[in-house]
Amino acid sequence: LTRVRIGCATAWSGDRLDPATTLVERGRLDYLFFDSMSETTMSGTQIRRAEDPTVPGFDPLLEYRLRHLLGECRARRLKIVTNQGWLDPEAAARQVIEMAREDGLHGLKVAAVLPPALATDLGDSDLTFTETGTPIADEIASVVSLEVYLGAREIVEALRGGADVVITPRVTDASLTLGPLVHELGWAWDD
Amino acid sequence: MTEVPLRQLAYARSGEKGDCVYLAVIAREQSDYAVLERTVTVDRVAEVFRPILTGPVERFELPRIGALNFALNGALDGGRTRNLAFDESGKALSSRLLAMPVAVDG
Repeated sequence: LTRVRIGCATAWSGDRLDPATTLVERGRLDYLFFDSMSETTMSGTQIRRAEDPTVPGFDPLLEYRLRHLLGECRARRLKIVTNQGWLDPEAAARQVIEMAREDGLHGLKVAAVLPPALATDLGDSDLTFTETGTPIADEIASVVSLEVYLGAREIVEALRGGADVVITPRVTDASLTLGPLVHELGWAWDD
Repeated sequence: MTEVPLRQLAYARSGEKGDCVYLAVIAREQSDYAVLERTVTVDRVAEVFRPILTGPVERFELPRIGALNFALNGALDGGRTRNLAFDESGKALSSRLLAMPVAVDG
């Protein structure tokens, strides 16, 4: 491709679905992406999971959204990149695969980008808060959520592997569009 | 010169990190970027958000994509996760900014 058409399905965790449906049907898209993550969604999920470990670690709207769009995206050979994996992209991917089976969508390739291993105990680290310069170790008891930001590399890898749906944990917002662009246009990482 | 709400010339994209809100104001037409550059100044943005700001406003210019990015330091009463305001999100604040009147020719 020399020109890539990418549609933004959602810009936050609670966005409604209608614009995504319109984009898929009329946008002549190559890719559809969902941004569905923020500081507040992540810390809120961590707190809910601490209170009830059966709460899924990924976007509870994943099923509702993809159930409505997956078939149409498949028919149009349109790929999906989404950060709805939140804290548990693997479980999110399993749900999508299950959904595809139920809906008779055969041969759909779903990729999960895994969150990097992260020390859950930063009590010994010398990391500091950017804003205040104070050691994180001093306030570790009140830390609710720790996440690493990934970029576009893993998304590109997944697309190179032929994925139709790429589900990520926390990535920079731009990666959701940058991934497809790097993949399709063959951009170098130092371009 | 007539005055129009900023949202006639621009749309916005926003985000929060800690106690800082980022508001990107993006010209709908590249030709309107000059108007944004002239009218959406640090002082005017600071004036809009004066009641909630505890830190300085910074402006970053991105003329080739017709955009200005504002960092509103200390706009969230410590951070979004602990803020008790109803309109605590960058999205709400960006909508407030787009209501700001700007002067255009004609």
